[in-house]
Amino acid sequence: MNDIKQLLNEATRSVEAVPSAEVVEADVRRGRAALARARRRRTIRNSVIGMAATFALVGGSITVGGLGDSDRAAVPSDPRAGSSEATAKEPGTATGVRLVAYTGKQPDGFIVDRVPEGWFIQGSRAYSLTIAPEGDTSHPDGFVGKLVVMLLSRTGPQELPKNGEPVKVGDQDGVVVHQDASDTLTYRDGEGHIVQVQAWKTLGWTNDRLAGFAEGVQVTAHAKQGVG
Amino acid sequence: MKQDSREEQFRTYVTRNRGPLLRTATLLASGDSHRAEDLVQTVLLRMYVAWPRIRHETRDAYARRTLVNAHLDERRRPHLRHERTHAELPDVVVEDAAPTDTETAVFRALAELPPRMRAAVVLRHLYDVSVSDTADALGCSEGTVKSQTARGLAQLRAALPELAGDGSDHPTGRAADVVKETAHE
Repeated sequence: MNDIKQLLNEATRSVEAVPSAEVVEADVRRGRAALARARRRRTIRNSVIGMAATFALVGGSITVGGLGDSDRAAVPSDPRAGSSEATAKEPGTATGVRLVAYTGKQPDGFIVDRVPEGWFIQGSRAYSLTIAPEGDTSHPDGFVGKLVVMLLSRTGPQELPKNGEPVKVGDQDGVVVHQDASDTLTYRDGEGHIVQVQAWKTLGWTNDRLAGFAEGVQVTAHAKQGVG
Repeated sequence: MKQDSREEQFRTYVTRNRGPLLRTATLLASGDSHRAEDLVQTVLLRMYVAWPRIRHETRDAYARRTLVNAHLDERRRPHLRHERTHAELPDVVVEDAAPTDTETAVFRALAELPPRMRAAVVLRHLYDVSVSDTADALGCSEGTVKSQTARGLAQLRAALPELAGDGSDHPTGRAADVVKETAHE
């Protein structure tokens, strides 16, 4: 007697059990093309977001007085600039992007032991270090979707924020302030600096992972505080 | 290097699993081989893009879920079924053989089922996918899977005399499981 499984099997008996090499290669080719399209879209989106953020930040930016354009560091006065676009479309993960050892050339102002997996040092200067995901071609001074290290601005109180969550960076005190689109860790490095690390939420990092990254940051003698 | 690894793993996966995927898709598409091929290509394309994020042990579940989603999405968007022109010819030309009487009867009966009910019956009874995994693929509760499967089988039984009284409400054909599967609706 026929049962449902037997009937379903009979109905699909003519379907090839093993595809030909030609069919498999066609699938690979389509997949490759789709991946390339996805990467192009992501690059364009990041560029647009980065440019929009840079333009947005220029209006309310905190610039370093007395410096030429090439040395000017822009710091977001509102870290949420462009955030809705970035957070809505960038996939996050439950555990966040892993940290891996950084083996490339070390930047001048800040030395890092580890970077997020698949990310690269996009920009480095005395005032800030910008780490961005692979494929990001936006300007290093646009911080949307990125990880940024800088010293606390010279203007304003030289102290940790009072409205954040306390964390330990090594044995030093730090505070994490959560904004809509990013988290900012401010901590003392034990050598007289107050360092800020701004991590976009697309990293999916916890406070501990953010502090873990900060533990691998060293402020060099070339690092300078911004103004504003 | 990473790309080579992705391609090699993907190629192996496609070689092993394209056949079963196409069979499932053919049933979901009620025998429309062109639509079935579209569904499979959609699934494999999405899998290739997401490949590094799909754990090895969940690839089959991912494929099932994507296939069912593509099937349901397509049914929700009938305008996508309209003929479209393309700049390039398809990679492979498929010639349909004349369907057998069994194929005609089964596909006609499946076509009468709502898409979600059809998917529940196919997953549960062609591959013995568990209620839990079927629920995951369909994005619904286990109770819904059980009720959809039971109703789907009842309709198929009415349309296909060969099935009458075969006790196939469950993949293993055990009558006791029929009660267990429908008791928690």
